[in-house]
Amino acid sequence: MRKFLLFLIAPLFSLFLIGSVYASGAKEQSTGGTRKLVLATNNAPEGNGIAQALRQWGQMKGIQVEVVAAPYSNIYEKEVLDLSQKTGLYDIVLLDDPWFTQFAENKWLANLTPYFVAAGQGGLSSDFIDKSTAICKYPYATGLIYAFPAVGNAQMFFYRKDILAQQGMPNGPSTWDDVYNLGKKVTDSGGGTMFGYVLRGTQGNPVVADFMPILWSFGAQMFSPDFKQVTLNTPQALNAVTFLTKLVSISPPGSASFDAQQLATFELEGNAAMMINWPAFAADFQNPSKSKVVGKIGYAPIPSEATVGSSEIGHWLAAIPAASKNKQAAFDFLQWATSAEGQKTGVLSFGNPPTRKSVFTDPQLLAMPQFSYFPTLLQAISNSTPRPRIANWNEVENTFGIYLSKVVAGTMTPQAALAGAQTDITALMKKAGYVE
Amino acid sequence: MSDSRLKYLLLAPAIILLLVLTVYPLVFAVAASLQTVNVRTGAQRFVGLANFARIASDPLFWNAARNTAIYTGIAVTVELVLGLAMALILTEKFRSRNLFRTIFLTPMMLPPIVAAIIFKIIYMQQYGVANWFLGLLGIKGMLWEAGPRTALFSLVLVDIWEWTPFMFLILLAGLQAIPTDPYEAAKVDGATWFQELRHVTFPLLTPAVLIAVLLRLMDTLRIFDQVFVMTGGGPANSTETLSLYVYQTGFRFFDVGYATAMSFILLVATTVISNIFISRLRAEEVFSQ
Repeated sequence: MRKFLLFLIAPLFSLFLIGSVYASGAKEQSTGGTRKLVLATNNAPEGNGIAQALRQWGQMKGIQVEVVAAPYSNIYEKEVLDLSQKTGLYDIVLLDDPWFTQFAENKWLANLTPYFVAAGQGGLSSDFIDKSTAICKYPYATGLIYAFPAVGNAQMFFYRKDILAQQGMPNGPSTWDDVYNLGKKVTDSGGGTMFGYVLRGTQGNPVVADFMPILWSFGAQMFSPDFKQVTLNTPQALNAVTFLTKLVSISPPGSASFDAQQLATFELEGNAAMMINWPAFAADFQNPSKSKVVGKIGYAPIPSEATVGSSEIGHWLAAIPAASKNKQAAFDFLQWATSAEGQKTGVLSFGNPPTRKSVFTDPQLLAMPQFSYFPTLLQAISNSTPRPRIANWNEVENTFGIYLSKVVAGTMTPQAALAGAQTDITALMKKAGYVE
Repeated sequence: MSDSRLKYLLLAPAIILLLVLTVYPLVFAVAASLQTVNVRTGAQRFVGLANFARIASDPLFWNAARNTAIYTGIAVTVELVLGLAMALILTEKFRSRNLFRTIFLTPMMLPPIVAAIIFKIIYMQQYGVANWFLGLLGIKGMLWEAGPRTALFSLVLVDIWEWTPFMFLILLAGLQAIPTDPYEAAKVDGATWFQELRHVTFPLLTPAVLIAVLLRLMDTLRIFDQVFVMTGGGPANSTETLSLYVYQTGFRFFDVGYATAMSFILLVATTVISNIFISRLRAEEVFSQ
């Protein structure tokens, strides 16, 4: 019996030891005071911008702040784990807009409308671009406000002004047919070192992001507007994927593994004439230590085809977790950080594109050559399309990405890829309850 | 306090750690693998063995399993052969032997992520040195990790480069531990170099080979870093491994139940394979019973 008791007591004693260590750690945290704002953000320029703003705000207001930064590939997991467990560890989360629907639908984010009302405002300022405001609402464009549009990304079409001027298109190609015809000429006469177009073909998010604007330009959509039907079995979708194979044929070999950075490298080295990319790379083209094409890069909206071209919007949104205990303080900070003045600081310090029209048209910024793309980006965002607003977009995108990767790698025909994608994505939509 | 009580007291912290860090997560994982989480509401639902049934008909899982098996098979075999050759050469006494031993071990010092990034740059079509070297030899440049047929092989090459030194290190230690008497006896009997290798070195080296292969097998079966950094599983899903698929399912698609079920299959496979080796090691009397 005594042996048994000892057997019981010994683990309990150890548990007590572990517990007391844990408790002392917890005590240390709580003496920090309740007025501490914790931000979860990615450790790239977009995230560093808001992190710097938070530190500045902390100094101004005498509030303790903490920044939890992680690379893009990890920050999603960190946020999902925290939000789904409702720990209230973070007071502000910076999130990529395709994650927004999942976060909002799971009720992980705080509804910001009451805070706007308390501040005597109807909602997000009308100075924000309409499309930027729309993705902060759930349901899309019509629902309640759950986020602030922090960084204004949308794809742009990058092209070599000198090469396209020779072909009589100084303002960039207006249709995808122009892109292919001109690109083919450049690739054919490029001797294997100069290419007309460079495609972002890495499996997963990259190839899908590069292809979605093409899909839309060809008049196709992935879903019906109510998401009850997958619509990849249309002739328009087939035209778009068939066109993708034509773009592969004029892209450098190996495009099946290119990501945004490789595309930028081709363009910076003067080895490619056209690409779709994100504004983050625009400043590098004006920097002689990085760019062999200073002053030669033009920016245009996405080319049209069957319908008017449209970029994929890729904003970074700032939201407040529903479990945060400092919502008002977080709201006040975000109001300030996304003000015109706050966004201008972000532009000047980190080159982060704004989401306010007044910052896009700020004369001081427009006079600076590294922001010469602002008018094009403002137009691109105003005419952008969001990724389908579904909670399971990550999985749908991955599935579509596998089929697109097979097309880019030449192991599957466009017909077979679309048929497979239609079946598999329908199954995913059924599993999530969108399709009956 | 008697010795027997003290024994339990001293063991208690270790047992608690084992319970907290191994047993609890394992039990939790069993529970999770029998549930499904709704991506839209976070609601959990008990589904019995449905997640395991889904594995059987999931082409993505079997593609990943096939890729993992090919990766493991080629990488471990080549690493063993090369590592053994290097170890045999570097047990011979010659000048600057220690210098070579040090140089051969350097790849292992790099974090796998860094090795992957270095090779991604080496493999670049236009700017990488791999195709430049091929060009010097008059061979047309390859697609490397960008080609659906060469991608998996290109990743295996990174593994071989980084981990052959590990095989080499263990086998070298194994060779050094062989006593000299059997060799002397073999010489007296007039054995040739090859006979010595086949009848003396190999049998006595078997325990070291088994340990080295076992450790590499367990590592390659859960290969993740290179794939994540270099290809993301592409092109055309030709490099998606089980670990990557499980990671994506759990952390990107939020399908925790299915991801856990797949982890279990991987755990069982790894345990079975490892136990084959461990029982061989027992037979070799490396572990005392």
